[in-house]
Amino acid sequence: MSVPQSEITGQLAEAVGPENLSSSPVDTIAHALDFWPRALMKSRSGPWPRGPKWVVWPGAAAEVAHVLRIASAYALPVIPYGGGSSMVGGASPRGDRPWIVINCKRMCNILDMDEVSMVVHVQAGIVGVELEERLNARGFSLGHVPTSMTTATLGGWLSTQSAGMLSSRYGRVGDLCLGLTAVLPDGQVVHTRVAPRRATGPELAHLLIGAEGTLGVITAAHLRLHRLPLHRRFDSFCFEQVAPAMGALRQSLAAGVRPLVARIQRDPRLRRSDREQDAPEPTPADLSRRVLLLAYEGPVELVEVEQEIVRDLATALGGEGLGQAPARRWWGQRFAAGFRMTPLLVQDHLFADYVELGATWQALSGLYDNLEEAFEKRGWRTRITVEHARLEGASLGCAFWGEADSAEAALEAYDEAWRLAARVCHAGGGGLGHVYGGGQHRAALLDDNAKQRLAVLTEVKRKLDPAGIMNPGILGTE
Amino acid sequence: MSFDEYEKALELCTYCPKLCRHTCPVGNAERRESVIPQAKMAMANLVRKGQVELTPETASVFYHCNGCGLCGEYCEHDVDVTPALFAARAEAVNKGMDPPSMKQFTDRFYARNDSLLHELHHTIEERFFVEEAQVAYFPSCDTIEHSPRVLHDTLKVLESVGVDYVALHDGEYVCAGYPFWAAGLMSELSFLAKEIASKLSNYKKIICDCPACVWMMRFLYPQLGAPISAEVLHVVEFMDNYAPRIQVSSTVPEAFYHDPCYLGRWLGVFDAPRRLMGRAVREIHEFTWNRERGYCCGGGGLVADNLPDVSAKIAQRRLEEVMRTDVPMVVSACATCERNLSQESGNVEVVNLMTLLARQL
Repeated sequence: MSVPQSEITGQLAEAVGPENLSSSPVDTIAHALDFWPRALMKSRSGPWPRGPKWVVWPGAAAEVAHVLRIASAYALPVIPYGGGSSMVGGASPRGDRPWIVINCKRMCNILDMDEVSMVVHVQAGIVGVELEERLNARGFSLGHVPTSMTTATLGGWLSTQSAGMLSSRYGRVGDLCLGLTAVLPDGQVVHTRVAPRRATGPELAHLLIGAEGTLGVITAAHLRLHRLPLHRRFDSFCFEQVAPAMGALRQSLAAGVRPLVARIQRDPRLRRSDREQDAPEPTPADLSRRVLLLAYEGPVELVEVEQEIVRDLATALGGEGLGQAPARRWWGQRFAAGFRMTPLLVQDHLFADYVELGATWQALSGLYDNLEEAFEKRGWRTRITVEHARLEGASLGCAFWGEADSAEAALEAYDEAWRLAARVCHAGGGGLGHVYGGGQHRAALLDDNAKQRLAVLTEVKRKLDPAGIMNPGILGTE
Repeated sequence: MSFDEYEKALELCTYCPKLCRHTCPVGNAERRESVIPQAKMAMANLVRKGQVELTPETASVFYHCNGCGLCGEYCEHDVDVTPALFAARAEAVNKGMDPPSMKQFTDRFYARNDSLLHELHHTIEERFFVEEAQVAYFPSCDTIEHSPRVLHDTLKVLESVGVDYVALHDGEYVCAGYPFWAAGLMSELSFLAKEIASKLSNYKKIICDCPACVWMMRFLYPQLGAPISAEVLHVVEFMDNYAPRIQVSSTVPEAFYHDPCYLGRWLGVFDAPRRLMGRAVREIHEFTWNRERGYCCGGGGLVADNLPDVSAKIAQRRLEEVMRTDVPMVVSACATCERNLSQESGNVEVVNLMTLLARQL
């Protein structure tokens, strides 16, 4: 189908107002990429990728609906855009057709707050930190704190089923979502009802949560709130190996403890920046050590009981108590991790990314060792963290980076690293894409089980989006 | 520094996942992806590398920056966005690609300077202009234009603590040149800096009521080959030594203190204004975003001139927290902040610290 661009421009201007429509290079360049390391690496030595033909900033669901009807009529790809901080290639569709970006950030208001039920109704374009600050001012918190807190929007979180640093206690963002307003590809605006519990068929909201904009545009949500904590406490334990650290965490969760933060990582005392200048280089035993960092919050009596239970379990498994300091320090720097990849991406010959996979406790320890060993064998550096712990399992976050002879070789090594991670993950019974969503990237690395699920989702998408306009190529759907 | 010397900062921002987005007053007001700090720096970088053509349109994003520096406060890589974007503005000017709003800027600057100089002499009695004084008070353009009362109030407060040796600087300029820096007019700035430095070097001490003037004279002038031998202080820094001597006849129950970006973040002066304010206010309320993380009033970076609607939204956002309370007053120590916040403050009074002190004497 040919694309009558001036006609479409006129219609889009009518839909959102001319002041909320742009085809200026200033705006299209800014929407050309997200934070997918592979795309950024390609842009280092090649041209900056082309951006959308149109960027629109609708102010309400009705305007989104109008835009989607125009897009359907001309079969134009549409990308709903939040903070543009996706790490998996969610911002650029495949194919040659010009596309529309729907930037949701004009829809950024709290619509209502029910302090009795502790439910907030908020538009999806609000940036996470802004929502949290507004809630804090009224004595509440969402309890969702991902690394993208300061840049991603609520809509972005919902569309990628984001998991934050406090997910062991509060769950993923989907667990906090009680209802949605979304616009389907044909322009139909749907609201899912807010009620504590319903048993009248599958929940429509959960079809849209995590769909990465392939089935529609989320414009608002009702979210569960929590009161700001009365008391917060930190604790830390050092273990000789990762396995007993995992054991202590697993048993604590099984005993009913719900820590605010629970993560296992390398001993932070080994950080070059924290060591004395003349300190000896770490030994292999030092490097094998893992530290379990914990935070608790709530009424002081409850916090003390939880802390006591974990302390007993950790000590029984050989954990050495390090006190509050390491965990408190991590808390103080909890957003710093988001900055660490950038210096690696600015250099042509380096490559870096973050593999995140989920597995049950039974499989987790083996996966941890296999992943670390596989990367180290190739001379690539890794830092693996156990995070997002739940009763049944947890996530492994594996930051990796390496050096190659050229920009092209760095891209090849990057792809090889991901294929390797996928092989190890699938062989060990894990699932890739535990935290950041699928985008373009993870879709190419799915296992058979995920492909089967995707086939069903593709059928659903064909029904809802017959023109195939919504984020084509994302999540493996066409 | 030339545009290319910011390569490292520009590269880091281009490949950053936009983690300082929430700090940018302009980005928050406009809610456009192209004007968040990361996107502005990326655009500058793409222009630098020749991946995007420099045109008045692409250069326009460099001017969507308050120059407040809050993004740098949050950056783990210590990237200083303001000077890099101002260097990008200078590049646009040098290539004749600055946006139309910047045309005839130099003429407008000097016309305003002359008019304000006239206004200054009209407002202040000639006895306060003493050529042989050792301490000179360098009044700023925004103070003369928008808060001339501050000139009298400052002199009154100085007098009240027994400081009678300060004279107003009787020069040709009432601005240290921040607008030139923000406009990217570096040769004009360099000329002005040398002119002002040569005149002010006769004094032992210079006090300014504009934090940006202090920062320019203290830190940028030396880089431009125009060091000032005299000690340059903001009036609040100078008055801090005399705080115990300030005797007020009455106090105000409560007020918020707004940290001006250049006095706070850029000069590191946080406690002195609070100490002085404490002489006249019984309860000082702090903004959630305060001190090093103080949020801009919207008046810097020429945004108030080029994008008045954006500047107004920034001021509204800054005042949101005050509006949720019954506190009737916001105190600041910068005429630009006073002007910008006052325009959006409704029933809340925005007052200069010197005026507040003078009023309570």
